[in-house]
Amino acid sequence: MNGLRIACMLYAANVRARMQYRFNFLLFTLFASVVTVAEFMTLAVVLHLFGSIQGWSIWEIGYLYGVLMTAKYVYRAFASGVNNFEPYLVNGLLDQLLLRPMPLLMAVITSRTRMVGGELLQSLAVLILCIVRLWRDGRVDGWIVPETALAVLSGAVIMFSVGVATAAAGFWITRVDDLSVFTDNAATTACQYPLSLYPDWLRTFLFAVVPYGFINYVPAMYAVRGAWGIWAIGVTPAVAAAALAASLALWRRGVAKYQSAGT
Amino acid sequence: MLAWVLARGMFESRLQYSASHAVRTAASVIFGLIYASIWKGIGEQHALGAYGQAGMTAYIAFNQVILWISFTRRGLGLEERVRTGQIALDLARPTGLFAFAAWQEAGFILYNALFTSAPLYLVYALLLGLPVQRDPLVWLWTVTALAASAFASVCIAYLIGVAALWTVESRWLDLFNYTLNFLLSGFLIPIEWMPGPLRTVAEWSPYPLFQSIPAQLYLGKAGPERLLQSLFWCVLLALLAAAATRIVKRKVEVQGG
Repeated sequence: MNGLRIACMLYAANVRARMQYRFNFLLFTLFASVVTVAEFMTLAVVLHLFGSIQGWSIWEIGYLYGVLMTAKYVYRAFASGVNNFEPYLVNGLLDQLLLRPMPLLMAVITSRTRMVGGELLQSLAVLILCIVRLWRDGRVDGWIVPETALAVLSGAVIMFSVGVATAAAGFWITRVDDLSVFTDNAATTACQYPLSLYPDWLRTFLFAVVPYGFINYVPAMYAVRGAWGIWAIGVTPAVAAAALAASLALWRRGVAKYQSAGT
Repeated sequence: MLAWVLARGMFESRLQYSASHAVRTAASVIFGLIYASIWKGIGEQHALGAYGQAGMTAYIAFNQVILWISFTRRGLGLEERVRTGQIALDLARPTGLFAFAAWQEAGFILYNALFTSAPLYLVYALLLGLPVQRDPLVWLWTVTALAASAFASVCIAYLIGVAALWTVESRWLDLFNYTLNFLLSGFLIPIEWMPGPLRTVAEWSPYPLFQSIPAQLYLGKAGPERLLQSLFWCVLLALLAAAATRIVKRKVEVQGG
């Protein structure tokens, strides 16, 4: 409990530190929001041009986007250090964190904070707009709210787990930014669209290797499309738990192997 | 000679991380396949205008190949030099700051062209049927457009980098530039398909230089007159970079302690 209190204090100190450069803080928050809006505009332009993709309407694809990106920004809000782990290994910053009286992963999480208010607001706005529209069209009922909340929270855990596993790989290969492009950026880009678009090998990758497909596509197949059974809602938290356990095990093995590479 | 030394130094430093870059190239292959799959899925139900399904796949694949030609380091690494105070020494060198940063970046871009773009070209020619052009003129126009694209991207990155002298950090500006590039360059959607206002903004911006113009020249959907647009932006951005260097020399404050 004491460790958790210290972690919260460190996290709050990080937030205050980020806010010391007010101009930067405001501009970064503003531009980060604009970036996510612009990213969504690319998807929106495609949907505007073609109306639907393989039977998925604009609102259904918007729902996929909203769940995925909300989960992503919840994860980034609390574990930005995990997502940007390479400098800790390359610059030797991890050595300092090893001296802190708390689990190393907690020390990494609390050492860096990314303010994601704008991005979170934008992805939530898309999500809510799509849910309201689907509700008005009679495609979903009140259950969509808890089902979506469960998908978002489980999704954040899945993303965190993939982030931890990617970071842990750095204990062997040091440079993990490019691996992160593979495990995070590519998977996120792919999952903004229905997975039925992709060839089998890519779908397998998104279910079995980087299980982002469980964040939005699987829950949506029940909650929005009504094509699969209710198991599709329960499977996402189960995958999240399994992914978390596996990534923490890999992290522990990696830490035991760690040799400082810094200067 | 100095230019060659700077470019070669950066090129050789990139060679040190070959395993990491192999992963990046693999990730880039996957990105291209993802985008191609999306357009294949769309093309199954909708006509894709003058491109057709095969043409659109080629457009997406070629854009993914050339993405790395206009891909620079964040602010040419100048933000970090501002933060550490190194920028003061850089400005004192007999070589201008822009030339110093730009020639280093040339090594970075050359590395990307050889070790990322070239493998992607071969993979997509085999997997996605990206046409291999045999007309030397097409190659001449395309390579010219790519050279302009690389130069313009270095100028923009330089302007972003020197902005750190006023704002300490400039990564938000880099993020913004990256996103505008993704949206307005025609990377994922041909500019002529964009809705009215967005299309106008894209056409009046420098971003088509990076993807749309080289891709259309390569695929035979535009003639060499499109290079005038590239030339105009290269001259304008070079003038802006030169002006920024003059201002920076008077502005520089060494930080740290």
